[in-house]
Amino acid sequence: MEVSAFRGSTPANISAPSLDGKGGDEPDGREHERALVRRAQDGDRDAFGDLYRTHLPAISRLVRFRLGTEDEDAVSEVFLRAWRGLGSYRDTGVPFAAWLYGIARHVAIDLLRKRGRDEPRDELPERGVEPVTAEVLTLRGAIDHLPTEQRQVIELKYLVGMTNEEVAAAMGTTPGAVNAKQWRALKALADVLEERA
Amino acid sequence: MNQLDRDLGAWAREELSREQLLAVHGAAAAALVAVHDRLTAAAAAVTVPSVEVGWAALLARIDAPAPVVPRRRPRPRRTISIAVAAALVLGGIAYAASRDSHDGSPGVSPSTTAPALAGASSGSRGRRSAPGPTARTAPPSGSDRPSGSGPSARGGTGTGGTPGIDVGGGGGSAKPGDDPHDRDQGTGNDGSHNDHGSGNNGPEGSPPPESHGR
Repeated sequence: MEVSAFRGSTPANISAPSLDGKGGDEPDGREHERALVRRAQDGDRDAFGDLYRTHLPAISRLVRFRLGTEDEDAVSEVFLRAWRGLGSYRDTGVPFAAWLYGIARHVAIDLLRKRGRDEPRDELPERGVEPVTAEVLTLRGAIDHLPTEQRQVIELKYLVGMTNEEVAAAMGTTPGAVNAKQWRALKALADVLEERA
Repeated sequence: MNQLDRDLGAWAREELSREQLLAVHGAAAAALVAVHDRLTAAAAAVTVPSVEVGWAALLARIDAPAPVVPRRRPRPRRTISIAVAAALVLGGIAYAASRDSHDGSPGVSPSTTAPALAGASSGSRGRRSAPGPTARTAPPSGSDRPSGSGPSARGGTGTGGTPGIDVGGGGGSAKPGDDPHDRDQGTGNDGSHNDHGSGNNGPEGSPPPESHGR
């Protein structure tokens, strides 16, 4: 159920993680985003600019968590790859944010490789970093210990801000299963954090 | 999905208060709620870059030409090309060698190669001596084709034969010193020398071999 295909609809609320498990999609918003994606595929930069503004917070959070540091170039790289890859994008009902999520993960992996970090899981927060960064590094280290599906659920829900329905569509499962995975992932995270404390 | 999962979902949907959740499930729910709160707070604390500045920077990158990565030719294709070229070269060399050995073999004796046909000239003349391009249409071996008798594609008109179709542009002419019985004369293969029907490779005025169509 790994997220590998990413198709468009809009996360209802990207700036604040949605945990309601109901969805909360606005049909109008989803259609609006689909229209933006189609226009962007035709080369409309303004439409892509709207998509950029909508998804920038989620991608920024994701990149920040994956890299551990703020990196605007990495965020820009995600959207640049998205722009260049729009031609191959097909709308099959999977949220567009999930497609961006996949690109962001690859960009982060590429950057970590470039930095020589082959295995960032066991990294501990550096001393002297700002509290937010320390917390992000702690949580990221714990998230990286999760099984792939649980990690994806956590990232899609808390960082990208997708609803259970959107996560379910992205992962090819049911919202109920996503809900269960979420709490199991949180339980596993709690255990890892307790071990590391 | 167990009762804890359901209640956690209800709490996330704000259908169940935190106090109710913790009252029912105690520490098990408390640990999950604590992690949930940490994740939510950390995600909210991440600063988002300025949208307009970021968009302007992205537009600049979009407008910049994409880096051109030279495509390397696939190695198998290159190998096949080299192999084909080598085969062509080797084939050409082998073909040229076979032609040379066929045309210029010094040990070939007209007596063994030419049919003993009365009135027919020796066919040991080589293709190199063919006067015109039409001679190339002749059979590979001239030994089985009488020249100077009957219609011939070879140029020239022989003194002792039926005039050939002179399309070759070349042609010899009977000269006073030629053997009058040499039916090969005037078939266009003689050129300026008198080969006495012994082919074109023999020395000037060399006597014809015994088997030469007399």
